[in-house]
Amino acid sequence: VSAAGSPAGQVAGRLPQVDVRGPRFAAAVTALVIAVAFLLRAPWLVAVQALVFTVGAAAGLRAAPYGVLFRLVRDLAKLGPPRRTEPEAPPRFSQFMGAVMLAAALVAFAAGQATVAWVLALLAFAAALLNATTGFCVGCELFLLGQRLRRRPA
Amino acid sequence: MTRAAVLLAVVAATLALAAWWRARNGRVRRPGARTAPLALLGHEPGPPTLVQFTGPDCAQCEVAAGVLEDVAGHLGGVRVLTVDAAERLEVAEALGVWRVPTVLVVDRSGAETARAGGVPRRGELLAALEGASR
Repeated sequence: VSAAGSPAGQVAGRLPQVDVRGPRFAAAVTALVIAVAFLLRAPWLVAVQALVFTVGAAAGLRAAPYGVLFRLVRDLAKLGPPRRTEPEAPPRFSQFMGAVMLAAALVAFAAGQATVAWVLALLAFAAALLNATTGFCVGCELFLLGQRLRRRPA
Repeated sequence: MTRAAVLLAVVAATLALAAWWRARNGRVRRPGARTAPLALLGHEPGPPTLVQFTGPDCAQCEVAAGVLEDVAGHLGGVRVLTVDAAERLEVAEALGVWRVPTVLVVDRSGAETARAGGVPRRGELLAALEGASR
């Protein structure tokens, strides 16, 4: 999630770009937060992560809490400017998917279905871990599938 | 204790999936079916051709395009076609293209001889393209 105003942050005439390291970092923090929530049986921590996903999906990755954290870590650790940037939309779509999954988990908690809730939370955990370790982005891979389903008459 | 075991099992399964995906991503392989991409795209057969399917907001597509340019420049006389999969959805579907980037290697007769999902591995793509040039 590159800093606004950096040359790589916005390529003239193109869609918003983010530092490729930002979403990977955010995915690692996400996986850690959900893992701790699961180990401590802490639904409130799942709610915190759901809120983080929602902010990222609604306000964009630059405003997302882990995006802000990434820039802080990047500057403190002097990681330097991004080697590459990527379009913001696919990782932002992933934030939306995460928000939906954890919202469903919170509904399950509220309904007393803790096991269902933790299964949903662990699915989000697995997706985040996959993203952090390989750069695999569920939202990116599903994009074409989504286009296909949208166009196909029911 | 049980929760830690469950978490470890999920981590192990996810890392196994990650390893499988890494091993598979970008491999240049023989196509499942011999398709004729050029006819579907309205191009005449001719020089050996690389067809790249891209999509909007596809970061890896730019990386793949760089590999294609490099490989095509190395060999010479290679045609590179870029197709927006979202715009030509029916072509993507007919060719069994499910993800972007996907790169097809097409020989002089217009038949697909190899394909890669993800950013193709340079050496493998070069070998496949050399095969298609014969």
